[in-house]
Amino acid sequence: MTSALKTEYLTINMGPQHPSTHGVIRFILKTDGEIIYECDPDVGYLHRGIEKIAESVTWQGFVPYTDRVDYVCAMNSNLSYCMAVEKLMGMETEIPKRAEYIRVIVSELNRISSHAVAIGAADMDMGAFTPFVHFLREREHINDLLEMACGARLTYNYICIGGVHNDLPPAFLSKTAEFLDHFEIVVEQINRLISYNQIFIKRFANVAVVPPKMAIDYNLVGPNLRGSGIKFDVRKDKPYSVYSDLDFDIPIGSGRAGTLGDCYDRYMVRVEEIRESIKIIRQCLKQIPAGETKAIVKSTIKPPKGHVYFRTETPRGDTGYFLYSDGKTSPTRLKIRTGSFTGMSIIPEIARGVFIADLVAIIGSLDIVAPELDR
Amino acid sequence: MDATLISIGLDPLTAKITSMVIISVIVLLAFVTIGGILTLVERRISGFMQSRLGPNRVGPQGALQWVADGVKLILKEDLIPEGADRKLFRIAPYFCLVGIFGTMVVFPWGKGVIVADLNVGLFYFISITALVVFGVLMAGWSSNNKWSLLGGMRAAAQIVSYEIPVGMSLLVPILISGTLSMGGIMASQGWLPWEWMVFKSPFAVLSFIIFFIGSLAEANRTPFDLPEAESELVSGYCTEYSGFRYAVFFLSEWANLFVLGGLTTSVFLGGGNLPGALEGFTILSVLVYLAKVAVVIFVVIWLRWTLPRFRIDQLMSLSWKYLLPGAFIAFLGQAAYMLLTQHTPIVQSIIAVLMFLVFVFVLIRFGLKVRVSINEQRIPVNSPASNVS
Amino acid sequence: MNILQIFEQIKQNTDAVVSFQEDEGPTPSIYVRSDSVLSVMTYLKEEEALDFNVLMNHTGFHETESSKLFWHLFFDVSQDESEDHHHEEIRLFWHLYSYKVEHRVTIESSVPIGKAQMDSVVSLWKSANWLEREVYDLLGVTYPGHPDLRRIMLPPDWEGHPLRKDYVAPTSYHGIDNSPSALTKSFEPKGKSK
Repeated sequence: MTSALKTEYLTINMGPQHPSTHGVIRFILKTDGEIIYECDPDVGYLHRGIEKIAESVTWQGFVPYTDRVDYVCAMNSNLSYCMAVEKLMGMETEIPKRAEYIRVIVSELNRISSHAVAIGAADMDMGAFTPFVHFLREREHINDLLEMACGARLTYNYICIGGVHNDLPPAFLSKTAEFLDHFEIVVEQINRLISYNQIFIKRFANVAVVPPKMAIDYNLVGPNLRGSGIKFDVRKDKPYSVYSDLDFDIPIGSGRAGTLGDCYDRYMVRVEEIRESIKIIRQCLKQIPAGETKAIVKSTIKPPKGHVYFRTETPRGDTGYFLYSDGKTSPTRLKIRTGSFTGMSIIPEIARGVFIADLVAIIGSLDIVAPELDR
Repeated sequence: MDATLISIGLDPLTAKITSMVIISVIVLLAFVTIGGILTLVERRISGFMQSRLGPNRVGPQGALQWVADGVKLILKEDLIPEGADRKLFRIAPYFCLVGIFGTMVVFPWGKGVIVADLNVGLFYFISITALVVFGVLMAGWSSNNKWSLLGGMRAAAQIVSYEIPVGMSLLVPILISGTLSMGGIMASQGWLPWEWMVFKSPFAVLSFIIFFIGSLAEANRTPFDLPEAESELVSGYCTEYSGFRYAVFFLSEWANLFVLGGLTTSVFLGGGNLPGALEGFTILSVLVYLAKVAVVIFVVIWLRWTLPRFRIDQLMSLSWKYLLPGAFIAFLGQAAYMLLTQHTPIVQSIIAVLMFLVFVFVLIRFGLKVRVSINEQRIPVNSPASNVS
Repeated sequence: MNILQIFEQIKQNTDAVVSFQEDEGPTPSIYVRSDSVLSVMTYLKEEEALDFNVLMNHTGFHETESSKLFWHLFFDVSQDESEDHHHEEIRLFWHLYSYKVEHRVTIESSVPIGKAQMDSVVSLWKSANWLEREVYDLLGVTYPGHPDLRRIMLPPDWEGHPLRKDYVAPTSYHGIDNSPSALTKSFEPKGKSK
C-alpha cells in the first residue's frame, strides 16, 4: 500500500525578477516544502559580452567598460584593469606617487560604499529595511565626494592608464576627512541597529557554513574567503600600488556567532573591512604628496606581445584581469575573473538542505552582484 | 438610538433594524478611514525613521494620500490568473475583511461607547479573527502560484500556532477581572497607570509580553511578517491580487493593526478610563482611548522598521517552546498570586506601583541611550566649513 | 618557489612534455602539451612542496594563423595536420596559486581548433567546474570528464561560440531582430560598408 504513495519535489523558479536576487539571477529550486533539496543557479541574464567588446576597442577605450563590469565599485574595476595594462606595458614604476595615493583613496572610498550596499542589501533580505536606507544615505556622501573628484556618481572612468585623469579639487581631502569622522560613528550605530541584533544573528549564524578547505577548493575570494578564516588579502600579501606603505589589518572570520565560515562571519568581515578602509584613507590623507597625477602615455598604446594575469583586491575579492596582447591597438583576449563568479559557483553545494529564507541569506552574505557575475 | 427612532414614529422592529444599519455604516466608514489613515501614518513614520520624507504631495502633508491610493487601486483591472480557482480567488479577500471587521462589534471605543457589549466579548474577538486564516489560505491556494501557496501555508501555520499562546495569555486578565465582556474588563481597571491590568501583578506583565508578541505574529507584522516576506516569497499570498481585491487585503491588514492596538489598550492598558471627577465625558474617554491606541500602534510600526524577520522554524519554536509554556506559567502563577494576596489588597497595590516605577526607570534609561545616538547624528558631514582646504 | 624551479620540478618528476615560456610578457608560463595537462596538474596539486591548492583562473583564446605560433618550432603540436590546415588553435591558460607556500604559476596549453578537447581538472579543483563551462560556452572547448558541461552564459540553444575569432553574430534570435540599424551602419568605417 505504501508503494502507491509517493512524494514529489516541488520545483520553484526563483528569479530572474525575484526581489532578493539583486538584479537578474535565476535559481531553479527543487524543494521539499520550504527545504531546498537541489538548487541550480542559472546565470547569464546580464551577459553583455564585455570580453568580446574588448577585442574591438582600444586599450584606453576599454576603461569605461570596466565601470560596467561592476557598477557598485567602478573605481576598483578601473584600477584593476589599468594596473593590469600598466603591468603588461612594464610601466608600473612610472606612475607618479600622487596618482597612486589618489587611486588608493578613491578606490577605498568606493570599497566603503560597495560594502555599505552589500551589508545593507543583506539586511534588507533579512526583512530589515531601515539599515539599508541608512547605508544608502551614507553612500550618497561618498557619491558626492567622488563626484567632486571626477564628475560622475556611479560609473567614474576616473583612473586611467598611467595615473588618474585629473588632480583632486582643493576641498576634497578636508571633505573626505570630515566624512570619515562622521561615518565611523554611523557604522557603529548601524551595527547597534542590526549587526548585533539577536534575531539577525540567529538568522545568519550557523547558516551555509563554508569550511576553509571548501572555500579554497571553490576559490572563494575576498571577504567570502576571509569569512572562512583564511587570512589572505591581495593588498597585504601581494601588495600593489602603495598598499605596502600603509598599515592596516585583515579581518577574518572566527565563528563569533556560531561556526567558522557561516553567513555571519562573512557579514562581519565586511563590517570590519569598512573600518580598515577608513584607517587606510586616513593614512593616505596624511601621506599624500604633491606632484604630477599622470604619467606620459601615448594616445594609442600598443603593449608588447604577451600575457598577464593581474590580481587586485576589489570589494568582492580578488579580481583577476587576464590580458593577452598581440602588439595591436586592442586586446586579443581579455578575461575578467570576478569574485561573484566563484561565489555563485559554491551556492549549489552550500544551499542543500537549507530553507528558502536561508538561500536569501546566502545570496546576501556572499555579496553577489549580477553584472559582475555575467559580464 | 432605538428610542430616538421610535419617538419619531417607527415601530420597534423597524427602528431596531434601521439603527443597526446606521451603526454598521458608521462603523464600516470608521473602519475604512482608520485602515486608510494608518497606511499613511505608517509610511510617514517609516520615512521619518529612514531619513526620508514619505508621501507628502496629496493634500496637506500628504494627508489624502490614502484616498488617492484607494481610488487608484479601485480603478485598476481586477486580474485573475489563468488556472486560478476563480471562486475561491474572488471570495478570499472578504474572509480577511470580515475577520477583522467583525471585531468592531465588541470594540470598546471608550467608556460606554461599544456596539454590543457581549458577555463573551473577548471570546468572540478571538474566534472571529480566526476567519482571517481561511482568507489567507484560500488566497494562497487559489492563486495557482507556488510562492502564493508557500505564503498561504506559512500564514496558516503561523496564525494557528500563535492563537494558542495569545488565547492563553488573555486568560490572566480574565482571571483578574472575572469577566469576558470587553466593557467589564475595561471597568475593572482604573485611570492611573498602576491601576492598569498590565501592572496588576508580575504575571500580568508576563502575559502582556506574550500577548503582544503573539498578536504581532497574528497580525503578520515584522518580525513575524513571513507570510508576505517580500525578499523571500515575492509578496506571499497576495502576489497575484490586483485592483480592488488587493485593496481589501491591504485595508484589512492595516485595520488589523488598529484592532491589535485597540485590544491591547482595552485589555491591558486601562482602555478609555477617566478620573472619577471627569466621569461621563464620553468624548474625552474616546480621545484618551485613541491616544493610547496611537501609542501602541506607533510601537508596532517602530518595531516593524527596526527588526529583521524570523525564519519559519525559529518562528515556530518561539511559539511552541517559549510563548506557550510562558503563557501557562503566567496563568497558573496568576491564580496562585491571587490566592495568596486576596486578603491583602494593599500588597497588590504596592507591587503594582513598584512595577510601574521599574517601568519608568527602564523608559528613562532607554531615552538616555537614544539621546546619545541622536547627538552622534549631529556630527557635521559635507558642511560648508570644510569647503576651505 | 619561483616558476623556474617549479618548471625543473615538473620536468624531473613527470614524463610530461613541457617547455618554459618566458619571452611572452611579464608573467612567464609553463607550456604543457595538451595530452599531459591532467598529469601535470595532478602533480602540481598533490606534490607536498608545491601544493597548488587554488585554481584562480582558467581561460583561453582563439589564436588565428596571423599570429605566429612560435612553439611550433619546438614541438610538433598539431599531429593531425590534415584536419587543421590553418594552424588555428585555442590556447588555454591555468593560473594556479598556493595559499600555503604563497607562490603562483601559469600553465599553458593549446588544442587545435578542429579538435578542441581538453582534459577536465574538476576532479582536482571544484572551481574548475564553472570556469570550464565558461570556456566551453564562449570558445567551444569540450572537456571530457566534466560532470555537467552545459552552456553557462548563453542560452542552451545558442549557436556558435562567440569568442572565436571567426564568429559571426546572428542577425536574429527567436524572432528578436539584431541586424544593425541605419544609425549603427553610419558609424562603420567607409571601407567596410557593404
